[in-house]
Amino acid sequence: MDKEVLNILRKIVGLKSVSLYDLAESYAREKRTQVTKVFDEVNRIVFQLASKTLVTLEVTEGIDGLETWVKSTPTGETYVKSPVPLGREA
Amino acid sequence: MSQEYRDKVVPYVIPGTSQEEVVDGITYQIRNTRQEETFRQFQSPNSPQSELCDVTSEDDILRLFFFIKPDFSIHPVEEFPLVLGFPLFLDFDEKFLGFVFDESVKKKIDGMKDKSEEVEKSLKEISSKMLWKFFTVAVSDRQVSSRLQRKRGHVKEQEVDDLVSGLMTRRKNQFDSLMADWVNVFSSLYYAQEYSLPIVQAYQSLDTAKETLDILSNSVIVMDLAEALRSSLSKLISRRICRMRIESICLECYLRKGVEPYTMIQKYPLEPTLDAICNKCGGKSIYHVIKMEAPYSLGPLFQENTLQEFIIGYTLAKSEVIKKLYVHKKVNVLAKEGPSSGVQINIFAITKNNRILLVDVTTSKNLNKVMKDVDAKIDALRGFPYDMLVFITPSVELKEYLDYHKVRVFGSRHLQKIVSHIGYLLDEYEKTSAQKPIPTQQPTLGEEPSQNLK
Repeated sequence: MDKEVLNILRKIVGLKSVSLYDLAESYAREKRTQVTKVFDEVNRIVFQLASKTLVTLEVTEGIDGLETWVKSTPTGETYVKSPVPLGREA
Repeated sequence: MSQEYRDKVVPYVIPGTSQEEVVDGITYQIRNTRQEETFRQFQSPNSPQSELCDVTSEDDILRLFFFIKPDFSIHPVEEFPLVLGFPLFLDFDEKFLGFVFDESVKKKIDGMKDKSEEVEKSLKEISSKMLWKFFTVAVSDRQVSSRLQRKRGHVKEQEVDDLVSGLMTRRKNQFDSLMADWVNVFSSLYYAQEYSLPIVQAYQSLDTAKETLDILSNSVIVMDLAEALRSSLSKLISRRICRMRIESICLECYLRKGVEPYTMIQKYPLEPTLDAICNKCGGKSIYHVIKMEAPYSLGPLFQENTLQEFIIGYTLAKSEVIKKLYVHKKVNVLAKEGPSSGVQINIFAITKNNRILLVDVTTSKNLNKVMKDVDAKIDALRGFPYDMLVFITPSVELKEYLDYHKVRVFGSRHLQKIVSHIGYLLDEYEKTSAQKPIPTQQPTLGEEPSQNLK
């Protein structure tokens, strides 16, 4: 798994459940850039993780209408907590 | 996409900034919402978002079609991971409807469902046995075990790949014979699933498929619905907005006549085929599932139901009476004592005659819920100056639009001619409303607008 994808998966697993928009904001802060520059990448990664059932996507009513929430799954948690996750540098 | 009408739509406001519109002395401040980043690609006329709204704003059937809530799933396909499943009938035999909900048919379906679940369970057991055998072979391989024993620390992905491909080459014959044992079991199980699963799935989605037919047949006037829908779907394919798979199965063949059902699976056709009448039994109840595979960037628009707002926004932008419109924004009024709290508005439109038209788009078909939403919106808009509030719902129950205080509620029957309907209402409003006084000063918060519909 790509390092950035694993980084985002770790973030989601740590939070258990996070709004897609908050996740993008937090990722942008970490990268010291604007949300606009990273949003598409975060969105792509989240869908990639969801396609592998490492996270699930749910929609809930937020302040400005429906909002996508990313939730960790037992598979995603196992993947992150595994003692030897593939792709982690020695 | 025609630039002229596109220029009227403001799909994206840079987060943290605002745009101001002064209409008859009142300053409206328009800001981004939480979902703003999902709208950024609308700025490019060639993005899938813009292309989709361009096609749907021109096509009466597609405009309605996207008000139907699809089954949403995600597949591990890089380019088109989103799969939106739209179940539908193109015709239906009412007598058959009574028949399919008969206890004997229900029992038959339950039996098929149980059998199908058993097959699924067997498949899982076989897969786990296969995996177990694979690991037995792998760990007994001397080269693999000695390599892993020597290794200290974490294992890199590339090292594992090399180890597995080496194992597969060395033990090819052993794996081939293992697979040969299971191929026959898999194919017999697959055969058992081939008929039963599509029928069980179709039976479970009968109501949704019937509802889709109700919406389409009651809301668009066409000679041949199947041909019209086929032609509309072809537009999406030819513009390369999405890929499409269509699965069709005749329920009457099996459930009424007891013969193997007529089925057709189309994978990524350029010109899809949609049969309304079964080629085998002549029955009308062919169940179709249209599976659209779309890029991930459309995901939040579909999930959060903002796509319908943009479809209506781009459709209204084609009206001559609309000067400018914003989609899914927070709007507040700048008053003497400071800005009012922002109201989230689906479509904030300014007309050529400087009227403020607000449009709220919902995918809910339940009129009771819609009316509760109308009340909540009216409450939220207290003190916010506007001329007309239009609600759009895909409900088929509304034969005529509802006239409710300053609000008009349109149903699916009005979606085909939505531009004409709203144009007519605005014309009538101009005729009936008194000369609109131009405020000499900024309004104070809580002040009711001077214009009324009645």
